[in-house]
Amino acid sequence: MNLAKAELNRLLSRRFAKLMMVVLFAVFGLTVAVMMIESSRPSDEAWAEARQTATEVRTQNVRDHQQCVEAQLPDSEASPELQDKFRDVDCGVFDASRVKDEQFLSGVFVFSDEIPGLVYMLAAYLAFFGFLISASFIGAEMSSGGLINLLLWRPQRGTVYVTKLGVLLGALAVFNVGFSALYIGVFWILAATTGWAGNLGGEFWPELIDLTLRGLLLALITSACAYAIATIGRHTAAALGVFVGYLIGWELGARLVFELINLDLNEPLFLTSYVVAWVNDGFRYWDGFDGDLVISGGTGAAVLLGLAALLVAGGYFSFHRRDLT
Amino acid sequence: MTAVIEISGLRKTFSSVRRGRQTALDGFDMEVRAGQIHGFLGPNGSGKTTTLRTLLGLMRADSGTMRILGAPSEQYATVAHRVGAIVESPAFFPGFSGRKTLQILATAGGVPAARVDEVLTTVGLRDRAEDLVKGYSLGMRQRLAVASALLKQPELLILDEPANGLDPSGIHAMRTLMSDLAASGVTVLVSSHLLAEIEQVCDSVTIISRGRRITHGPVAQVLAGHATGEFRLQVADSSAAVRLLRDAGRTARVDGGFVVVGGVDDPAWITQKLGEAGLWLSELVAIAPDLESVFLDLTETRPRPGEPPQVEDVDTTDEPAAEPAPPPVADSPVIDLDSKEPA
Repeated sequence: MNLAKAELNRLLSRRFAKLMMVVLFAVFGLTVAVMMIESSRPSDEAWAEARQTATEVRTQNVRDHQQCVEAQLPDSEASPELQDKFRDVDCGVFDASRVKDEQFLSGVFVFSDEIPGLVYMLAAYLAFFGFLISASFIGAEMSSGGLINLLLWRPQRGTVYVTKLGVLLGALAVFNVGFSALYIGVFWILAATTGWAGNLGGEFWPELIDLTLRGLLLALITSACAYAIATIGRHTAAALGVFVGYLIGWELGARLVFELINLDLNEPLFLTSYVVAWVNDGFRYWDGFDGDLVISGGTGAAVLLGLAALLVAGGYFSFHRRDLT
Repeated sequence: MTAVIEISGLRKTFSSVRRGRQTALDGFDMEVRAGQIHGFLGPNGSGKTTTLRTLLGLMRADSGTMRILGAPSEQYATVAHRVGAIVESPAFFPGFSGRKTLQILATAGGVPAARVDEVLTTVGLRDRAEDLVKGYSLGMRQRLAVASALLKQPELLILDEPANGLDPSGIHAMRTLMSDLAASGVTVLVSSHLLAEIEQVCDSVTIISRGRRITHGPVAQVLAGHATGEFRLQVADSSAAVRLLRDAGRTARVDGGFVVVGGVDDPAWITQKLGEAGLWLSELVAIAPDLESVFLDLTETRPRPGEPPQVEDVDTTDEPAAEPAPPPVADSPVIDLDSKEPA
């Protein structure tokens, strides 16, 4: 308990942690400013225009849906152009009931439409924030030699490693929940005052909370991985280097190479596929042969958690066995 | 006295791609008795810090046994609360104040918060406790390190270069602190290159070179084992005295304003011989080696003219040299005459 208290004190006292919080709030502020810069409460004229546009789109959707269904019939009498146009298309996308008037409000921040995208950004912000905090929490201590001072007091390395990680993830979890609530709350208030809240009934809030929690868990998994890599590399920069190297070398580089040699991309080879699958509860991709395949949300979670567990275990054994010079 | 540190046959090898295998410790032995101030000496790269880090669980030995406060080194965690230590250049978070640094350690170790102020006062940092560590001088960081080692009120204090960066006042305070701690029953193991300080304050020493123990024992015993048997005397006519002593079959030479004579068992003979020739002594002192000269001779690190001394590169091919048997303690008579009367 003493060690946990000491580590929490150390984490909260670090200037880097405070600096990152300031940066995070600055980025939040910038995001709010960009989203709200030209937003205003919708006037009656804006509503009238939006409704008219929505009606036109619904009418077009009904027509497209009918044409799509007819073109996909086995003995379709639709023209060849229509059959080509709607080949392998999911006719369900032409669902007129999904068209909302507020989608066509121009210059208005509509909370219900915009917040899912903003929550994706929130997840990215928190993941990067947690990554940097976690990597430096152990990396800076290892590279500066400060960890030796701690181990002279608490020589049980396993306990020190696990306690530091536990305190780190616990503190980040609490902060992330609070920040997420603030983030969503601020946008909701801004929409209510200078925009439009939109349709918040039905499954809206449960789905939004689900999406937010998935993002928070992703941020914690990222933090644990950064902690482990920095432990193995004995430096904050080790985690940053691995991250940048993987991103550029594999995620971007391999995709480019696949494209250059006309090889079909194998999405399961890329970690981002599992990230998307986890956050969106499924990732549909085309393998070039059998049609659409899906990486489920469960598979995404299993891969990400498995990777984190592997790295954390590797960090544990590295920390436990290594000579500290 | 019971042994608080027992090291036997300690071996440690480092491997690197560039330099291959390097042996830092090659069957090192050391014993530190309770209540003593024990000096741990060796040239740069001889294995001192490796020994201390291995003892404190920061490194794993390849082989050998270690016991600290009666517990095997594998169970160091059971006695860690009774050991205070500084190992090489202590590192602290530059963004924390001195007080904050100690408070975090105290919390981690379950030490009462009041102890922080006590140790800050003891090391002389009370008035600079709120300053950030990044603004501390080397000596102040060293004081902070000593403070961190004292927080636990340890039974065993291990100090690696505690006087590093300290001003003369700080060095004096450190010497006094070690003496006071030893008087109160704390065992102190101190590694230092300030051999004059070690000679003054330590009860016993162990000297390491190339990963092996070269000599060990009470300081007086180690020094006596390297006594030259020469005497230094001051006489009005140095040249005449040298001629007389050489004619009598002894070695003699002029060294500065003194005459150094060897091959004499009883210094009274010198007094008598010179007195018979009308040469009266104003000073007669047996030349006792100091720790520095003993250290340089034993570790073979005495600088040669024109050859800058190099840090040891440990050679694994040499067979361990036999450690010389500790010699009996010999009295070193000191005769300081200010009278021209014959003995």
